Amino acid sequence: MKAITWAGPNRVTCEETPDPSVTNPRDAILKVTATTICGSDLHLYDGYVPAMQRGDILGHEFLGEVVEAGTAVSDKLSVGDRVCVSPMIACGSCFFCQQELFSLCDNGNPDAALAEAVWGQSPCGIFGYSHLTGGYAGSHAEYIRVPYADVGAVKVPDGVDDTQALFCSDAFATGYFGADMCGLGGGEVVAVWGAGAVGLFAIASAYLLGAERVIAIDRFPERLRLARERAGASEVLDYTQVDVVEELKALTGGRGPDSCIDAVGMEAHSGGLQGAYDRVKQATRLESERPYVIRECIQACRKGGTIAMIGVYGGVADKFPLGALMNKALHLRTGQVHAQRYLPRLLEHAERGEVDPAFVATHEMSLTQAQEAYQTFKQKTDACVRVVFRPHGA
Amino acid sequence: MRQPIGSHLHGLLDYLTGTALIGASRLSVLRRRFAGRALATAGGNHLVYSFFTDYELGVVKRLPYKAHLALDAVGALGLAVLPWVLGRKDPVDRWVPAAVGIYELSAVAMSDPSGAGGSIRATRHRAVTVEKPEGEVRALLEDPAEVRRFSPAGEWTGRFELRPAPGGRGTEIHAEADPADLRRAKQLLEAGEIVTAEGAPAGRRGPISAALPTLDTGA
Repeated sequence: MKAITWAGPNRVTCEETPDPSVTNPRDAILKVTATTICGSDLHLYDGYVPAMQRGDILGHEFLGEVVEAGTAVSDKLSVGDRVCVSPMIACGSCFFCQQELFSLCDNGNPDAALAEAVWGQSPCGIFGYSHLTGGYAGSHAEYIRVPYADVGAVKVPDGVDDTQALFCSDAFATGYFGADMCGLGGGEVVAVWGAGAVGLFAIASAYLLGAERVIAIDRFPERLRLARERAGASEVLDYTQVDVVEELKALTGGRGPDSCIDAVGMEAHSGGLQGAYDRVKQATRLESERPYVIRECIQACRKGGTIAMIGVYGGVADKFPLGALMNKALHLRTGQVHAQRYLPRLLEHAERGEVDPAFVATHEMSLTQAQEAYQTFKQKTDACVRVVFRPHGA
Repeated sequence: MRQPIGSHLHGLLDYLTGTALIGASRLSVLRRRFAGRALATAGGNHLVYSFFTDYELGVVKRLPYKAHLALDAVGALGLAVLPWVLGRKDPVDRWVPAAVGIYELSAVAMSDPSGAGGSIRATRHRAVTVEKPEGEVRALLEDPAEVRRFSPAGEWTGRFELRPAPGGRGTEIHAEADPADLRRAKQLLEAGEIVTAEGAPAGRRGPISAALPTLDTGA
């Protein structure tokens, strides 16, 4: 089959690979009908995740059609079912899964020892997301093996099209998770850093969950326009033009946002001395993150407020403002998305027309355009928000 | 007590030592003399049979790890005694190969023949908690067929202790065991299968991927 594989920092290629096969009774094999490059794939593409190997198939956000179901899932999934799949590979029965903390599953990562060495304990497995999270083949391919398919694959209602369902798999789910972690009760002001797909869905989700105002922060005019026009942001800030912390204070009567969502993660952009400092330290591998956004969230958030970290971090950061975090009694909530928890309700939101997740799809390319697709997405050229691959055609 | 060097660490030492010996043989003090030729031969041999060894860093996995250790021991002993057998009088020709031989013999002595080793595990789990009642856990841990599934290397001693987890949250398994065995046992109990990414499709790997995957970053 054709697949997009990692060929080293900033290099991907489309090549022929073997087809996947059912290995365990709870597996399913899917024909991938749509898959997209996620912002977190760029951390792999850029070479900031150390446990990548040449030849690894990338991709974790996808939709597919069941072509084969293992013996233990054949009563739940049938050949021909159109399913949306969680990027998180989780067993559904361990302590964490039982609490719907699927991304913390104990039994999803076959390379758990590696993750334990780095992080103390291992999260779940993730498709196409380095050997720290299992070394599973990813979705930028014509076919994919889905372990624990009875837990991770959710049937898509007829009223939801492929592109809408595709983004429920991860971007919408992660944005929703970020808003959910804010514990909104109604009437809050939420600030969202990053107006990529995840940030845009965090904005839309914050409104679904009761926020009164959502302020979007980015630097690309077209993304800020989408934030306002499609996600519904009440205000937008271009961080290259304003002092974000001061502006947020001004917009919130001096109090600061009730909740701040970091939808950027480890490769945040920043100018000035702080930005240069992080760039140099990251380039020389003296720190693995450029934690500019999370620093700003801590600084901006109101006292006693909540910060939801859904942007991905992998290692260690410098100059982390612990003093502000502690003395302002902030709540810091984090994690990879527990997508299995959210998938059914997000598909319902899409079916009812409350959110149209397809609005973030700006580009369609073929698997053979792998390098161009990744570069376009990384450089955000041509107002790119998301690139969609349809490995078997539209 | 288990020897501290497992097969993974041993493999790393093999490749490092093989390369270092060949490199050392090119030093002016050793070049074109018996000691240099001995080190180059030993280094080359190391790299070749490491390449064919059935351990984590082997590429063509044909040679059993225990046979690899036997070759190590024979080679090291040969290196240590050959200068005397051949009547070499020069101190460099005599003592450099001998020192390398002694180093290699020490590495063999500290290597666990099962490959498990005592110091290279990233995290050693002595206990895991499973979301199952004690009776179900005991039944699996005492079933020889299941033991073969979760402990394919046969390291499971069969000695374990079960304790109720706090708050009625399942059962704790305590054992002197390979953490990977405990993880697999937990997967069988909770998920009903052993999770794996083996055989996952992939594209063309880099030249060093099979031997040193973590360094195969394509850079």
